[in-house]
Amino acid sequence: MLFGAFLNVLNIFLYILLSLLVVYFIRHFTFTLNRAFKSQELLYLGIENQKLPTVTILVPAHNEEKVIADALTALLKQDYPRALFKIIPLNDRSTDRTREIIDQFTAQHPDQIFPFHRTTGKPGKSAALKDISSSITSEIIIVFDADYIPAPKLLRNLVAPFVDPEVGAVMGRVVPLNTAKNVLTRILDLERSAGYQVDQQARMNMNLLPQYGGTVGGIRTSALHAVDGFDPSILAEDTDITVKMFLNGWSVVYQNSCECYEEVPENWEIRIKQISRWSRGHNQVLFKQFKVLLQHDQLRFMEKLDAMLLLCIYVMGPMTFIAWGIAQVVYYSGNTESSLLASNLIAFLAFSCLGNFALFFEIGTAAFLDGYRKRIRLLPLGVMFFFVSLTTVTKVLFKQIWEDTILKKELVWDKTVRFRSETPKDGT
Amino acid sequence: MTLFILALGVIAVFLPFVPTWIEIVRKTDATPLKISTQILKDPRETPIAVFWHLVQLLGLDSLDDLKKKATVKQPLMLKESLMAVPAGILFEGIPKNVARVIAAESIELPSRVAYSCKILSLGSILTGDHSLFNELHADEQLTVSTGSKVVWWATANTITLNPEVKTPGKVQAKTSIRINGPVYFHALEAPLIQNTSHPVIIQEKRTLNPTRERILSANDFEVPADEIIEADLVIKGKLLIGPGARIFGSIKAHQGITLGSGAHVYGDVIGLKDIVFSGSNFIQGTLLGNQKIHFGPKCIFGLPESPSTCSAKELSIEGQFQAHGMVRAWKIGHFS
Repeated sequence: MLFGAFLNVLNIFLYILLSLLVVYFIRHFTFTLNRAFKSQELLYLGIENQKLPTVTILVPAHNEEKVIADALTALLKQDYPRALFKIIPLNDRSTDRTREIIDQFTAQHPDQIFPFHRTTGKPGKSAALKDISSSITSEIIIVFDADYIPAPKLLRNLVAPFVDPEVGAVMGRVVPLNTAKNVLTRILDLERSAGYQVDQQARMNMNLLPQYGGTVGGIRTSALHAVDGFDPSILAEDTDITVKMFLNGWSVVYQNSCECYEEVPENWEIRIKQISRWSRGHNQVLFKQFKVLLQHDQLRFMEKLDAMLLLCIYVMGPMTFIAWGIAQVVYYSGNTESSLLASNLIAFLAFSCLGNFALFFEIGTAAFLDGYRKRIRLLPLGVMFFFVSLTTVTKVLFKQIWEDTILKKELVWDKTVRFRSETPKDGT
Repeated sequence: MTLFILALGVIAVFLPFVPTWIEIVRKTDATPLKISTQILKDPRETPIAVFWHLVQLLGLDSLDDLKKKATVKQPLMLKESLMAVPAGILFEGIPKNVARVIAAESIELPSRVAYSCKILSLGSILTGDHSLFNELHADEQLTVSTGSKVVWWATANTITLNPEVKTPGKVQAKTSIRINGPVYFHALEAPLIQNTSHPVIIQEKRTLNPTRERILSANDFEVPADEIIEADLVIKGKLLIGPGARIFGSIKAHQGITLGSGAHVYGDVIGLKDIVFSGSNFIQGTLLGNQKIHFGPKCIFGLPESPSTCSAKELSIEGQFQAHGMVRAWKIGHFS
């Protein structure tokens, strides 16, 4: 009797989880259809003449000797009036030649580069951005990670949507540079392609919530101050800013044409660390903002739903595992038909539509839209990729609950290792 | 039988990995996606290189020598599909294999012809009526005559578009574009675009207060007539700005925007639905519409010293109009 009631509860829970996966499936399938058949949002494209705002470019750097010179060189070549922008490399206690390289660049471009060498305070990107942002007086703040190489027109295109008084942040597209390195980099290239070309752009087209990604992105300084700036206790400061902007009546714009090269991880260890940091930070924002978002009365239902699904994306991995577990219990309790169906559905839906790891239809459409179709042949490798991501985010969630809630441990920023070149470059 | 089915199953599972493995080994599509540099070449720069190419092909010493050579009363046919034409003549019948026609001085083009080549002139170009051109580039004046069509690109120092001209491509002038009568267009860019004989000199130039407020409204919003507002307006509903009102800030509405007669906006205007300017309106900043923008008579957009962008899916302009910068319609624009 008691066991029967327990099984009923499990069954209900299983079907709730299944329904959630179906919702994600519909969401991503709608995004894909939107990108495949609908035209792109044109509102902010082609703004060729405008009153250009003053811009501060922040380049957070911690032990970036292999890449920082490339980033600064590319930023100095921006097609933007010199008087209207300055670059602040944010050197957060680097122990390699990063400081030396930045100082060499500063000596050569004293009117353009104003370094900020951090030696005290909480380490990490969010804390560094928090430290510097309160003293910025320019209209717009642009953040580039040190491994990014922007094209000459990027800055001009990135600030264009700020003519809209509702726009608080603008996000550009990230394109991997080291694609050909190995199988991992090639799959990451497909993943980035789907994430930006389909996911972000569809959200933009459908007037939902494109995400500010923390790099290749701009923030209106007044909007940043209005939402109380960066939160140094959050690892995913980008997601936090996105949600805060949204809750305070600012919109986030995605500009698909603002492309910028980045370096993606070249080995699985670094990749797993990267996913761990993203999912942990993302979950932090979920725990912090979910209730506020739910209770907000100014947002449309679809906007709220999209924001909540965005925040829950890294929780869906562990939920999938739990659902599989429940399906096994239900199966061995004798209810073979429904649990087999549920099991298969969970496998299919989870594999097809889990956010950053979206496979098949999103990647296929993205490759088609980008005009690089032969790389779709690598799609079967997504199975391996999917399981690595799924186990990583699951492990992170349980670790996070244990460390943050029970042990109350302080979070540590885990920097992504760079691979670009063995010989550090300098300002010359 | 069981073994056979098992073998089939294994093959079915691993079959998709065959092209994967081939792609991993051969790396046929492993280059990074090409960054869109978004630099559109100015076609006025292209001819110089082409002229020099001509100079070399003809074994001449300088561009001046080419100009002298081009005064010969016969078009100069060259290899590599280039054709240099003498000045001041009306020529007919450009061979199909000619990709570029280069005139050292001013030229006139005949009526009722269709040329797919790129026509460049170091002087002026006067087209004939009811003709079809792909590209026209003049260093001085370009006049597109009645009923003609420039499909891809037209550039010059000053451009005149006569009645019933259609320009589905881009029209770009260094100094001004003059519209004479009803014209269909896609993109016009010049420091001065006008369909009036005398441009209005704008007296009211304002710099916006950088610390101005932002007014948010979830519903429709109305600015009373002659009201002065120093703030940005973000309106989720419709926005109605009364006649004679002055907005010292930018405005955005998720629904339609209507500006009453004589209302001025000294910031940017963004509308996700239709925007209607009743007449005698002035907009100092950027103007973006997601649907249709209608300009009533005597509207002025942008400033000569700080040109701006006006962009929408559809643009309809009636009466006298003056713009400074870029006027673009993604679908179609029409001067009535």
